[in-house]
Formats: sequence, structure tokens, C-alpha cells
Amino acid sequence: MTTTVPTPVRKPRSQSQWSIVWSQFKRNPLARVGLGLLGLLYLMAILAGFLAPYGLTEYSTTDRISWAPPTPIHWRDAQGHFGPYVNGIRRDIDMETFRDKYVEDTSVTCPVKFFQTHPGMEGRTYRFLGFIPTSLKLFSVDAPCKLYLWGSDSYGRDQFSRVMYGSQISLSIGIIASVLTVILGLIMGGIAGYFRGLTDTLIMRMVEVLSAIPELFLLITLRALFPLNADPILVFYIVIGILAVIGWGGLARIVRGQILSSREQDYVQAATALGASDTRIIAKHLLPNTATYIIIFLSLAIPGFILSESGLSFIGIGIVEPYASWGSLLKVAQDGGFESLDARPWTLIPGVFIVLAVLAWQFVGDGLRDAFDPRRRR
Amino acid sequence: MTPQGEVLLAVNGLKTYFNTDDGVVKSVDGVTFHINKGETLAVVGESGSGKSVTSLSIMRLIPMPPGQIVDGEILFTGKDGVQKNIVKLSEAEMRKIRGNDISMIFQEPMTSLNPVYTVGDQIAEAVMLHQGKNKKEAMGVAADMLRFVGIPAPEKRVNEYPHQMSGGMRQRVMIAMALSCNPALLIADEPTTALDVTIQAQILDLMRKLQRDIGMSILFITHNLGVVAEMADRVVVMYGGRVVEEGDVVEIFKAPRHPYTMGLLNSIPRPGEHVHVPGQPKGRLEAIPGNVPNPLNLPRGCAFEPRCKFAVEACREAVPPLFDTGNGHMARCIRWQEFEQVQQEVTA
Repeated sequence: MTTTVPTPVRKPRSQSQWSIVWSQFKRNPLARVGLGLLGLLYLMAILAGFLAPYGLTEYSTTDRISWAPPTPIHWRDAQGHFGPYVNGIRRDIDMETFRDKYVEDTSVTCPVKFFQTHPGMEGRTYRFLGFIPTSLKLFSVDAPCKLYLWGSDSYGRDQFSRVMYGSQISLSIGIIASVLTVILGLIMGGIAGYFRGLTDTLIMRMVEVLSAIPELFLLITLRALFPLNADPILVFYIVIGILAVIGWGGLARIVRGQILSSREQDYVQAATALGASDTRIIAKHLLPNTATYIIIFLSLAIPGFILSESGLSFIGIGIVEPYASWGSLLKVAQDGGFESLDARPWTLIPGVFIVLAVLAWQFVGDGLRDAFDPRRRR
Repeated sequence: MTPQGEVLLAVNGLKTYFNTDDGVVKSVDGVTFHINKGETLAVVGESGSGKSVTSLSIMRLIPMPPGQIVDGEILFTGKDGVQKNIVKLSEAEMRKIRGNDISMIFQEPMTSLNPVYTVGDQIAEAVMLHQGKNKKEAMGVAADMLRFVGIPAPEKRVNEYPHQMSGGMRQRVMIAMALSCNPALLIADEPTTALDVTIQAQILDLMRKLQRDIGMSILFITHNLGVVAEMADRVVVMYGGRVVEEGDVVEIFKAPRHPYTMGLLNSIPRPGEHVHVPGQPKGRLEAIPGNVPNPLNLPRGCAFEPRCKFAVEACREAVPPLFDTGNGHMARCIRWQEFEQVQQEVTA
């Protein structure tokens, strides 16, 4: 007698909201591209010290090479050895324009060295992952050669290194400022929606006044409240603060609206009846309901802040020397007017990074928004 | 008034008004009653009679503004044995009472639990708030409470979310939450209205059992007289923001002294037995004619007068006082003695 053993029925497991969102997100090709790109960009920022062959402010006072074009890298030398090397740089004068121009000095060759440490070079020392002090570089060349992968600026500083270091500021400023904005928006919107009445009126009128003033004007005005020659680190925090102060209004409005409706839920009254305080109810029972919205807001606000910071730095009231952000590096491109753009187009490279970062964040933000929206489920 | 035991809660002349754009709504207008220790008091009345506002006033959960407790006192003796006037307490003192001395369960078990937390979390919240226990101990208490209210596999259920439970289960969770700190008084605001009849009976059984075990008092707000007969020791009938009749549950059902109570009793379909109302044919299910009066514009006299078939000229003159009809039974009707007479004749 043969009996067929019934195959055990697999119980369908209920999916958590996060796993649904993740699977939806993965199905969106643009969002995947965005996420991958962001991963690369932030990895770049984290490893900036390792990737950059030079220090952030490293330049030679005796042999200043302003506005050098990208250094060509050669692969096969005269002896037929294979391996990347660069030639020395010699300053020359263009007899037509009477400007400096740099030509390769083929008499000097320096091989590109990988994973070299640079003991004694203070400028090149950095803290790997923020902890381990080291001067290990992915690639570098020894003096007297210079390796300007993306050209140099007017002081002769390596633009590639500065873009790497600048990414740390540009990418973190967006995140920190938008987290601050979310905290401000949640607190203000939560208070306004929960307590209503006069508090609500005051906060909401404040939001309206803030949004009635043109943003750029407000940015400049707020920046003018602080000394222009303040400590560069302090300026970094001032810029973050200004961005957050300007940005919280829209979020506060939406949080207020959500709180207004969820505060009428029975479970809020039930929590009050159990003796929970106002703060506890706002923090524990009302704000978590806005989580989905906050996540989407964050991912869409970050590119906005990256742009705002770039804008501020571009007009010269953002990040100041010696620090660099993509915006302040881009400002270099306009030194000397449009003509200089033609003469040294490589100064526009930081702009490419701004565009990439903003695009990537927006792809991710759009992907998240669609993934959280049950009507767009595929 | 014959106090059978120690008075736990005494509401004296409570007036809770709401200021609206159209005028002042006197939702509760001079309500007086008390609850003894270990007793169940049912407050009965239709929508808008002020029963829910009364219970919310006791918890001080009236939204202010527009609401306001304008007069009266609510004297409550908590677990610490000190009598306090709830109306005068600060918000911080009130928070210590809520959930700890007085708990409340609500009408809608489907929406009274926060969907984003597990039921264990929500029960543990009250325990952590009032008993200073840490999260782990509180979760232990939560599981114990779930077992106490008859939920099977409580260790597993504490980690479930409200949406994984049925309405009856959720109401059990609400009860577990309310009882987690051993309150002296449980206010149940129509706790079974949203449940189907079988579950209703289970929940009522559970509440009776728990009351025996803990020895708490229950203030039971309902419009369901069947539930009242099952649960209550004493009954307060409210109409138009005032108490119109108060007394022992048997007295109220056998010998109502107010036409509104009679009307309520007659609107329950009960095959066979019927309360005799003078001048009404037997065996017919009667509805009370008319509607609840506009709370903005209550009649000058008895609030029930426009709907009352026994109304006389004197009813329109002034609000009748609460007459003591004996045995702790009180009625706000000037003709109560006539009803007593007729009913005695019928039973004789």
C-alpha cells in the first residue's frame, strides 16, 4: 500500500512593513542606481584622506603652480617599463596671451606610488575612519613631481584632494542640517498640533513669516548676524544652524496637521487616562505615527540642503578657507570670469559632484516615497 | 441615602459646561451621587444626557477649553487613604491618580489601543509610569495581567500587535491595562457597546469576576438596561445633564418613580414580564416620543417635561427637586407619589 505523505503546507508569513517597503524599493531601478551612487559618494567622503594624494591645504610656498591643468599620466616610459608615471612640470609663458602655461618636463619622471605613507608630512596625516592617525595614501608621487589629477587652484593646491575633502563637508552638511530640521519641525509641529490655541497660532504665524521672506535673502541676512571672519569650524555649524532654522517650517506644518488628527484618536485619550504626561503622549503616541512621512521628508530634504550649502558657499558666505565644500570649490571656477571657464574647464568638476549627489538623493527619496505609498505597490 | 459602606467617590453638585459659539452647553448641571467601596454604580441615560461628560470630569479629561468644570466637588479617597477634591488638583497630581487610583476603559476597543505598539508595551507603560518598575519587570506584569483577564498563551500575546487580536481580545487587553495598577475605581464607559452579544456577556462576566478578586468599585456608564440589570448594585439615571432618578437596582427596575426611567424600561423588548405604567396597554413595546432637548435651550422646568405624558402645568414652572422616596431611592418628579400608589394597587 502506498500512501502519499501530504506535503506540509507552508504558512505564509506576514510581511512587516519594512520588508514590503524594501522589496518595493528594490524594484525601482532609478532608486537602486541612486542608492548605489550614494553609497559610493559617502564611501568617498569617509575615505577622503586615503583617496586624496595631498593634504587639504597642502601647497608649496616656493614653487607655486597656479591653475595647473590635470597632470597627464603615462604608462610606458622610454626604457619600455610598464607602469604609471608622471613627468615634471615646467612653467612657461604663452607668447600669444602672455599667461603662464605649464609644459611637461620629460627629463624628470616620477612613478606613481601606491599605498605609500608620508612620515613627517603634517598636512597629509589624517585619521583613518576618524580614529587611526596615518598618512597612508592610495596613490602619490614624490617631489619634485606633482600629481594634479584634476588640476590645481590658484594656490597650487590639488583640486582632486580638495574635492575629496570637500565631499565630507558637502555630504554631511545635508544630513546634519536635515536631521536638525526634522527635530525642530517635529517639536514645533508637535507642540502646535497638540496644545492648539494660542501656542498653535504663534508657531504657525512664525512659520508663515519665515516662508514669506525670500529664502536667499533670509540666508544672507541670518549669515550677516555672525561675523564673516569667524572661526571656520564655527562657520560650518553656523551654516548648518541657518539652514535648519529656515527649513523647519514646512515640516512643522505637516506634522501639526497629522498630530491634529491623531490626537483625537481614542488611544490618546486612553493613554491620558492611564496617567501619561503631555510630553510622553506627544513623543510616544503621536510622533511615531509620522515616521513614514519623516523618512521621505529626510531623503528629499537632504539634496535641498546640499544645494543650499553650495549656493551659500558659492556666493562666499558659506564654508570658508581653509576648508572646502563642493560649493566653495565651484566658486573658484568663476574667479576671473567666464573666460577662465574656457581656459580651465576642470574647475567645474566639483559641480558634477553636486549634481550627482543631489540626483542620487532625489532618486532615493522618490523611490522611498513610492515604496511607502500603498497605491503604487507593484 | 443609606451608605452601605465607606464612600469611595462622592460627586457633589458637579457642573461641567462647554462654551460654544452658540452659547453655553450645560452638559452636566448639578450632578450629585456617590460610589461606595466595592460597589458597581451604573449611570444610565441616552446620548447627550451628560453621563460620559460626568465620567470624563471625574478623570479630568474634559477638553479645556471649550469645557470647564464651573462648580461642584469630586471627593475621592485614593489608595493612600487621603481624601482629595479632584476638581482642585494640579495636573501633575491628577496624572498620579489616573491609571493608578482611577482607571478607565473605553467604548471602542478597536481604536483605543495604539496600533504601533505591542499590547505588552502598552500595558507595561502604565506599570512603569506608576510603579517605577523597569521594562523587564513591567513586561512580566503585563503577561500576568493578560493571564488574569483570561487571554490564552499570555507570554506569546504580549508581543502581538492590536491588529492581530479580535475586538473581544482587545477589550480584555484594555481591561488588563486599566487594572494593571490595581485601581480603586474603574470607570467603564460603555465597554461592551462595540462588541457582539456573546463577547459582551464574556466581558461582563470577566468584569464581575475581577471586581470580586480585586475589590474595586466600578462606575459603569451605559444606555443598555440589560447590562445594568446584570452588573449594577445601584443605578443613577441621567437626563438633560441632571440626575433624574437614583436607587438600588432592584428598586429601579421594579418600582421606577420617574416617567423617563419608566419609558426606558418599557423600550426594552421583554417577552412576558412588563412594568406597568399607568394608562398604557400591556404588551406593547413603547418608545419615548420626541427627542432629547437641545442642550443650548433646555426647558425652564423639568427637562423631560416636553416628552412626558404625565406632565402638568407645575412641571413647566421650575426644575423639580430630587425627592427622597425612601430606601435610598430618589426621583426628580413632582408626581412620584402618584406612581407609587398606582404601582402598589397593581401589585396588590
